[in-house]
Amino acid sequence: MGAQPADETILEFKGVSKDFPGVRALDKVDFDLKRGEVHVLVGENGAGKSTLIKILAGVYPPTEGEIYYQGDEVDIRNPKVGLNMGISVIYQEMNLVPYISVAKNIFLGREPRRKWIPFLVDYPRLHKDAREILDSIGAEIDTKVNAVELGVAQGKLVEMAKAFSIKASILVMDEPTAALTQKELDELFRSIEEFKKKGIGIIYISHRLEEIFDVADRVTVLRDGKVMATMDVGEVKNLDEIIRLMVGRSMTAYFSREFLKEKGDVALNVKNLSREGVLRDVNLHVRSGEIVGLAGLVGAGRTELARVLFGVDRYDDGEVEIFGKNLSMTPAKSVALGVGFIPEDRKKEGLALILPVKENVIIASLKKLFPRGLINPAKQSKAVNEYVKALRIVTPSLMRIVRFLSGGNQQKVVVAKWLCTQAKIFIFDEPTRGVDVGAKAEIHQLMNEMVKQGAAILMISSELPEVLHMSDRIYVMHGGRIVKELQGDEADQETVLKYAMAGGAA
Amino acid sequence: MDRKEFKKAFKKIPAAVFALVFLLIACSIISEHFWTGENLFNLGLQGTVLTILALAQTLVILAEGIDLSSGPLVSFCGVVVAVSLHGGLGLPEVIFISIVLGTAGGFLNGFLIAKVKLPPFVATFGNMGVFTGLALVMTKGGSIPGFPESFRFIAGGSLWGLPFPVIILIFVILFNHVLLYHTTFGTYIFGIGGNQEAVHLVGVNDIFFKSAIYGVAGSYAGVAALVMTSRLNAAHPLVGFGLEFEAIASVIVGGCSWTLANGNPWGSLAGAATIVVLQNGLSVLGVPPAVQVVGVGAYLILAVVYDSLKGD
Repeated sequence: MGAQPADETILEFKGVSKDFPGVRALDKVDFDLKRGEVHVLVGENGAGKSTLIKILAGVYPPTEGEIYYQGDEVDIRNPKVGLNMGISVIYQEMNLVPYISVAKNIFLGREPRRKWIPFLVDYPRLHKDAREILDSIGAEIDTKVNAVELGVAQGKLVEMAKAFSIKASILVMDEPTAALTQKELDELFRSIEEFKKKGIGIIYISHRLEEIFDVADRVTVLRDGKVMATMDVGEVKNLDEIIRLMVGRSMTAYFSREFLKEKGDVALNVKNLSREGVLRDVNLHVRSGEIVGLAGLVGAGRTELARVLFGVDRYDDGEVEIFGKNLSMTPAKSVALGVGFIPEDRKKEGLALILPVKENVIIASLKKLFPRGLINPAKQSKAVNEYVKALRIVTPSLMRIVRFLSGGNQQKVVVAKWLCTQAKIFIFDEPTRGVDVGAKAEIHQLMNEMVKQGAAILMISSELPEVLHMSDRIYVMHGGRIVKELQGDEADQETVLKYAMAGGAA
Repeated sequence: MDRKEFKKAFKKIPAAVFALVFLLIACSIISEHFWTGENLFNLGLQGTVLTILALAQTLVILAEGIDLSSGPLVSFCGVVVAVSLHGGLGLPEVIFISIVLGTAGGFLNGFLIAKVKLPPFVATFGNMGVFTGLALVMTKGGSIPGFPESFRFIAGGSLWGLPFPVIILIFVILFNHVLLYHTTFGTYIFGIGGNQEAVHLVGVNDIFFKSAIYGVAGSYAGVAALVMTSRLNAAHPLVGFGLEFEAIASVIVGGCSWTLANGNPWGSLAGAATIVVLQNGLSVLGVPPAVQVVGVGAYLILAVVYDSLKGD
């Protein structure tokens, strides 16, 4: 066949470092990307993945080192330069404009103009070109709908179309699958195949390590700003090897739970719970000393159920009992009865980001600890300190603003908040979303500790391995109903998925 | 399914449209003179200034901002126009001056917001004082009356059976529509309000365009100042006082949201129309102007309550 263009290196980092005040985010990194390959980049939070991406995109200049693009040394001063070179980045958050059409989003900044009046947008061409691009990556999305109407997966596809339209030769995808269902994942992976066929090099960042085997040609592991290894996916024997490189110590992918033989009384009991359009006839119970997993696809009604249980949203019919008492419908009463809610989006709903650790831990217990409304600072610090120590929250001081903590430590602060209220029932919604492998194991260990001390935990998770490893029992939701209850030891990935996807009908 | 889609479409109609229908019916019952040519002519005349400012405010609010200085900017431009006319400048010159001055004032807001990164509320709140102060300094607190016939045509003349201000208004509406929906600049307005980072990351100069949004809004204030000054045949440093309130109210009752650029100029047009008709109706009932302000405020609150209720 002669020279294979697929082996041609399009991008090369040589000894690239990046210093921020007080911290070296990247340390003499060598990295390269070939045409038509998927190069997966893994590492814990803070390992330097985002910094590398931002240097490539022209957001930060490197402190030292050289970048070669198709053999020539380049200086990517700003995002525009990066774009013109054909480097397209799909960031983790949606980067679409909500109230303009899909077509306008794809061509944002490069709108086709009318021939005779060049400041006017050429709508027929805009939609025609957008259609062609969407078709070429196999996305059936109407070019005229506003981006706000799209789901997460469709949004990603539009962003991929956008990347494609600038004739990108390098596509960077930062955690593209964080909120996708299996079906959407398959669709995304199909589109990635299309990109590879066209000779585009893809840098792919993911926290879901299992995905490496689905998409990767090569893997690079970063730790503390250094490249630990770059290998062909064929050389990777198992995930543990990668995890060891990431965290620098040997660790199994999931913390193994100790299951208690003797469970306590029923702490949370839900009978025939319904909420119009969201929940239908939900029955479940959680005992003290057990973790009950709630599995299902995005949109199955799991988060909605959690919100109703905690009293955020109302229910139309049915009963919720906490330790045998009927639960009224406000979060204040839930807290008083000993319920804690660790929400899916901790930054929005779980924490006051701009307040220090101390305030965040104490905020739900103020009424209990200081019923007269006057805060005793010594008592406050003592209470907070106790939980910060017990949960091994890594923070320089109690006054550290929580925004500056890592994802894992932030999550622990949320848990500490509820432990501080002496809660006995915990609703965890995606307990380890967006935290790195080390912190994940610690949170699992923490949950294990909590149930040993008699807590009852209801855990929502979209990560099947997490549900399977952690749960005593599993409820599977589909279309607002609980369609199946499984014992932890009789559940496997296929069974859960079958019920989650088809409600058990198929 | 059809029923569901109908419900969805119904929910999209802003409060202002229902209010407008209600007010038109109410006014025709209260006063037999409401639908006369003379009254409608007057409504058009009165409504032009507010409607132009409401369109300017729409651009700014779509971009997740607010412009509290638009009323005072109208006063200031009016005063400068009056001084220029008395200094012997002709009609084309003062039109040019008013629009350029308005644009410059708007760009000043835009610069402070987009480049200096002040919150829009603070920047325009400060300039509210600056523009009012400048107008007061130039007039020493009094008004400047009496202009040549040619200038008074702007508000007093008529063309094709329509008051000339209404012709100007139609022109501004068309200009505004083309700007928002047929130019790239319009796309960037929605982009900056909806996701400025996305606009920045595709290499568009978002800082410049964000400033320019305020600049265009300022140019509308310059046009409004010409109509206002011509109509009163006098310039007064406090004449624009409170106009920004009515303009912002028009946009809000028109259903434009404060975030993500979710809105359109048509809602604001309906919003401005309701406020003009409401004031007209209250006048017919003999309600004093001061109390009319209460009426507009109450209407604003009712409309927002309606919008928040239907969101559920």
